[in-house]
Amino acid sequence: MVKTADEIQRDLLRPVIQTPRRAIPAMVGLALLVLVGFSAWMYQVYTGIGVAGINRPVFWGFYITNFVFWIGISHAGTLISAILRLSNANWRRPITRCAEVITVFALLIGAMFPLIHLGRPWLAFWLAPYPNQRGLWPNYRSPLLWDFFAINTYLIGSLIFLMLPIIPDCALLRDNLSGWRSKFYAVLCLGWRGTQKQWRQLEAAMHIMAILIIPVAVSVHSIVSWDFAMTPVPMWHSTIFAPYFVVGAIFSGIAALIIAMVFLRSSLHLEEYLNAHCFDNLGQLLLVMSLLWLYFIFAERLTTWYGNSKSEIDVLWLTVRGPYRHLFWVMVFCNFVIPFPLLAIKKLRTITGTFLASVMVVIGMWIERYLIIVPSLSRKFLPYAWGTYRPTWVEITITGATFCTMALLYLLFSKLVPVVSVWELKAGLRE
Amino acid sequence: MNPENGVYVLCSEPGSTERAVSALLSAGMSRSDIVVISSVPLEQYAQSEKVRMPWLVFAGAVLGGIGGFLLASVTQKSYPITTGGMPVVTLWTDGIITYELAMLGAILTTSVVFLLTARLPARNRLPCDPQVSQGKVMVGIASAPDALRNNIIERLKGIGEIRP
Repeated sequence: MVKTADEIQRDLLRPVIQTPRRAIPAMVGLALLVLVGFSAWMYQVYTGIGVAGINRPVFWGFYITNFVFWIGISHAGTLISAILRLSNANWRRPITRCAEVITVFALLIGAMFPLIHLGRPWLAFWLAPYPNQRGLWPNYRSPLLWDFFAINTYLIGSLIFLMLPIIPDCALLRDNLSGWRSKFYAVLCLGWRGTQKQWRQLEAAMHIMAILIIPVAVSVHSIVSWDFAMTPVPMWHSTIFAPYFVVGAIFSGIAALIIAMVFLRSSLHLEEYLNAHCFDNLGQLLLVMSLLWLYFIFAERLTTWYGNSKSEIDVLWLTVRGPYRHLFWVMVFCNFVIPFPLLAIKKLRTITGTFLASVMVVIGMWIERYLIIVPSLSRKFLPYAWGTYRPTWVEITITGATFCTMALLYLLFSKLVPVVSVWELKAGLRE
Repeated sequence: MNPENGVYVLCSEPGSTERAVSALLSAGMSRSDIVVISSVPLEQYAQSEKVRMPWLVFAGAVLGGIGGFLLASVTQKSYPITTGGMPVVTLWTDGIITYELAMLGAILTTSVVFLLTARLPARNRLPCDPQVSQGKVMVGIASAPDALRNNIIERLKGIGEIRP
């Protein structure tokens, strides 16, 4: 049944205007879990980085895995929102804001990890380019510094890309609420009136931002991959890393978006907007990414196996047959074996099917980041430098807290701003 | 231009917006003076003026790129590290910084140009009617000449609710 503009507006503003009963306990519960994670970090800052499991030779463990994972999740917004806006796909309308929000929050969470990973985070300001008595200056040859520029550019761009289409919806809330809430949204909407000149400029700005944000997103994860590929570590120094990471990022991003949409759908009663058609289309995209991921994993490992370089083959067998084999096969099952039939068979590509496949993919992609980082570091060139890594409760707690942080931020956002763009849906009705 | 001389009509039916625009044109107002306020974009009432944003964004990208290259290369020369004979200023890596800051320049220029051309934050020259968010369209003149004001109001009567 086609909804009228009034019905759309009422349904989509309701979660902002009224607070569902379960929202408050959910926010409190999530906030407490986030606090636990923050306390674990403060314990690490107070006691020292030694409470984390990272040590010679595995200097990068859970924290860098989380960094790469969350930056990867942020690619959801770019693909879904920007590419579908440019291709004028009408089915994007209910999901663009959900995707753009994931991008911003995932970037904020991911960008925290280089700080969490630092032994002395209170000295992080040494990285800033200011004249100092140490005679030091940021090293622009380092991929870690490219990360700083790339992630900040992507974060600023994604924030603007999120905020631009929110302006008219804030004006809607200004006009539909009263008291301090109306004044709050009046400030947020910057005095938006909705003249045709304003609409034209907004659409032009959104179109340009959609064009700009795509190459930035590609560059971000390419640069993150070069944190590894620029080093001579076995199985890292590979030219395939940039596209491999970008594909993996989009893969995990779509999965995260589907999971977020399922929760939003049921908790905010948006079943008619985040409907089976959206999930079907996203499920097909996820299927394509799953196949692409399989192709890249195969290409990378085939090259390593065929080259038969001693140090590289040692790491390869470590993951496939050695102590990391369980994780490796769980990863393959989660990223391909289980999602493939759920997504390829139309009868199984339901909302439940795509949700299950997405959960598997998110787990599988986290494991994939772990398996890229830890086995290679544990077995480099010289046997005296071989070692193992075991995460501690501090790292596990902080990791769990980041998922709670994402959920909490999303919940707070859905209370402040309509999570489905009202004006875009109404404009879609007109079209 | 006196914003207190604004005259607007609130149109509730699809056809009344077109009638209101026609009425204002026949009253001697030019297309560029007519303001159409709605809760969704109405392309048929958008002005046909050129959007200069892409060129300004390109200029912002160029400036950002130049800034990025200078930041990397000048500071590398000012604080040279021991490279064992390798170049101090490396174009491959400086290229990455140049690219990222070029994109940042383009992104910031887009947002600044949007704010300026959309005249945001607004100074509330134009009326704000909550009924627009209910789907109605407000059509009018921001500042009607005193001599034509009564004529405009007469022509808009019957089309919708007048907002003086």
